[in-house]
Amino acid sequence: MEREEQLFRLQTAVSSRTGNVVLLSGEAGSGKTSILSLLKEGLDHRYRVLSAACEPVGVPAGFAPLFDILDELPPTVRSDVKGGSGRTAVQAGVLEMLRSDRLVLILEDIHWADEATLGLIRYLGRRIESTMSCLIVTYRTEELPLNPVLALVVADLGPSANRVELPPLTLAGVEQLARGVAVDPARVYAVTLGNPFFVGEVIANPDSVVPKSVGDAVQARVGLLSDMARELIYMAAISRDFVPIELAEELGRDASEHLDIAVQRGLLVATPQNFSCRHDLIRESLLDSAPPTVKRGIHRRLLAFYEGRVGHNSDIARLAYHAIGAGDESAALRYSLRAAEDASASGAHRQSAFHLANALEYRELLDRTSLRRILLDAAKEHLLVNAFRRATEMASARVRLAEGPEEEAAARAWVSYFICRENDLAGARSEAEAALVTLRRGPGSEELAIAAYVLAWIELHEGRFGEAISLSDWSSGLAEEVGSVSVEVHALAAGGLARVQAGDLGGLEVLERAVRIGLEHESVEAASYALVYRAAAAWILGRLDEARTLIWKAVDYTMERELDAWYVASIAMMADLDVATGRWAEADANLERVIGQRTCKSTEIQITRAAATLRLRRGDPGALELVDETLIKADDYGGYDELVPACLLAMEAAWVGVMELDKVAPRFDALAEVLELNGDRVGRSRLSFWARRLGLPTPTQSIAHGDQAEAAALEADRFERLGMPVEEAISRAMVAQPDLEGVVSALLRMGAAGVVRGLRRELQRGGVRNIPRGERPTTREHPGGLTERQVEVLGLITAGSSNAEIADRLFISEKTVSHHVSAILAKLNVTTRLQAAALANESGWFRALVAK
Amino acid sequence: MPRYLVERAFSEDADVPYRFWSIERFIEVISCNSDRRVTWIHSYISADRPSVFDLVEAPSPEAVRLTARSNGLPVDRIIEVTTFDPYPYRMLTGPGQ
Repeated sequence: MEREEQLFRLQTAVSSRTGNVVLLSGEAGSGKTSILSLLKEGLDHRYRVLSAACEPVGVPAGFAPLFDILDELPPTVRSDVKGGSGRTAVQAGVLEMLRSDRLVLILEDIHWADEATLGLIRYLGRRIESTMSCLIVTYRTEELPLNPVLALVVADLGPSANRVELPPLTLAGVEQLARGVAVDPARVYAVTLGNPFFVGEVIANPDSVVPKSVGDAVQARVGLLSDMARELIYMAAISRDFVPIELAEELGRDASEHLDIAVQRGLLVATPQNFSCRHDLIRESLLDSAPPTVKRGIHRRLLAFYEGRVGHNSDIARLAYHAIGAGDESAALRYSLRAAEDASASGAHRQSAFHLANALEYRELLDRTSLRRILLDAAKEHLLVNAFRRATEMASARVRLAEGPEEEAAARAWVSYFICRENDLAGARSEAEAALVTLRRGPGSEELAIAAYVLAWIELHEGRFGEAISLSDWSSGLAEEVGSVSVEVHALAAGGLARVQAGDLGGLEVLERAVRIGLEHESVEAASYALVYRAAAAWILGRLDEARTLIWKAVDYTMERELDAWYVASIAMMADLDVATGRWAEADANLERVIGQRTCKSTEIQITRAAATLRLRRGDPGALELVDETLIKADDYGGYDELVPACLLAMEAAWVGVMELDKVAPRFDALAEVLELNGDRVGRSRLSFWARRLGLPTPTQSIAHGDQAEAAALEADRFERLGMPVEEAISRAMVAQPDLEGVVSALLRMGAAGVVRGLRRELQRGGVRNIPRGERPTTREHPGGLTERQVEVLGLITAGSSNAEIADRLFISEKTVSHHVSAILAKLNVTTRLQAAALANESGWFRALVAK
Repeated sequence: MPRYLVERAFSEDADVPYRFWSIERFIEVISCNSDRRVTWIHSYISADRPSVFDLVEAPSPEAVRLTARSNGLPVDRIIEVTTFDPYPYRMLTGPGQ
């Protein structure tokens, strides 16, 4: 039934010899579970299938779906999952399991997955190639835009995963299903829009009036049920999981008969041990329609039942959910706090934040000291999951609770920290200064160190490096004294970067120390911060390769630990570096991962700026809009660290000719003065490069004409060493007897049509005529849609090379080769490399290409 | 959604490829486009050069480039365009008239 192609693709993926991931998606009711049942039926004994599903339990416990298949897991993994011990152990254990067997691991409904499970999927997705197993994950298409973490996971898996989408049925499909049933297929199609579940509902009840929605279809069935049967279906809906059969029996002796009726009506499914809703759409529509008093009663019943049988920690989250639903305030508070504690210990920050926020709904039950502590914990957890505003609100609530000036000052120090993470320079400064005035009269404390660090951070971002260094040294000393690792690492990193920017290479050592301490103590937030700052320092020093390696390290570290804020920041930084170094295809891919993600101000500016630069240099439309957006955002933020690059971007835009020079010149004048004042050598030289392009006055000007050509030659060599191809090309065009043809061709090969336009304008202003058009790069269309690299690989396959030999020849890893080989086989629609080679030899078209 | 004219230049000795593509290849390209909400409306094939000009609807120039890369197609220039029809009677019967 219009699912043959999808089923075939699933079967192909499962039977492939290299491990792979399948993303199976479709709207609710599109038949994801049904097609998987068909797939499972068709598999023979060589495959072991493990199926687990995620449930919509508020925020679920860590690795929730693995509890479904607990008995099938190897004993060590089982105890790691149950014991709530570190995620790394569980991840490695599951991977090992995939390696040792030919497994089909199915995780359904991952739009409801907890972070630990999403982390596991990401982890497995990146390593699955080394196994013979297949990981199939399903999700609802409509949930993707609502769930940024899921979107990140899907984007991450994207390039290598097989995507199988289940579209709605066509009219022809509905006609096929409705054959022999007395309904008008066209009307059914019009109402259901081809949603297979809904179509099934309507066709199953041909006598009733065609319902307007799935909900109506479900309600029509519920209406005919007895009170007890209704209680049972609501119980299944509210439990959001399998309900043990004992609970039904508690309702009365004839409960099983009523259960049977609900099963016959197609609302529930039951086994001898438990029962649940037949479909998630049924569950959702029941939850919408259940009367509040009934809901409360069922929650109370479920709470009482599960309280008696707490085993593993996923039960605590369940107890919290039912306690909240039952309106039992003290239980709700107690269980929410315990669930938060468990979640935090296993690194599940989103869950922890969720449970703490729930607990705070019952704040009247808490004494002042506990409330202050919980508010701070909650604020920290919210910060880790990128909820800056909520974190600041919670920290501010502590200020209102403070008794006495010292307590108030300490609370305000924390507020300044949260505001500074949000990148609000002015707001953070006023809080930190207020805190500092009071706190410095007392003994050294963590809060005093925080206030000092926040001020150091502000000085750093406003370009006053000397002040930043002395404040951060003070802060890190205090933090070490009072034993606060996190603050010490933050302060060291800020101090280190400030030193580097002021031209002191000793700053690198300080940064290394910050990274080391952060990693050693698993102080994850601080360690990510230090890693990102260390990478930034390498970049400022012009060590771009080193910066790239360091950023990858930060990407890996933050990804494995689910630190979304820092993950997005590292990818954004990578995209920015890709743009600067001419790796534009990579930049496209990295920008796609982070555009639209929630993040702090400066990262957001970095993303927009990188995208703007890319459009400008390629001569793509819409560059001016992005340049304007960058300038507006940078002005709003006001930090010097973003104002300088924003000004460089505006100058480049004026050079290319998409922006008016009059709009750029005042910005440049103002900034040049600040740079001079701060003694920022690096910033000054970057600014003067573009100022010379535009004929704006620079401090280093007034050199004779001949010397300028010589300086350009030196500059070109410097940019070549740095690995900045655009600036290099421009400088090469300014030497004494430039090879303009070569420069223009090189730029066009890179795809830098915009830069060529700018260069042509500058040369024409200087009186150069007959500027060459350059040789337009032409790309060949390869047979079967193979990429350049894949054609090379195919050529070597045809010559009989093994993967190892190919890897050697092309300087790529064997893993990458095997990836290319499977892509080639898929594109040429053959199953073996021999067939691929034969095909390449047979066709004359191929021969011409391979010979090349 | 904005429309773009995308110039794709192929090498001198190759024919413009669309003409000898298989149906599967078209389906592959179209489904790959749809992943990033890119719609290929139609193409103008140059009479004397191995170039094509594709009219596409796409959320951004980046989406055009990313899909081109996945499809193994070149991109030489992207120009944002709007449609104008030189039919005077439309001006007379347009909105507000």
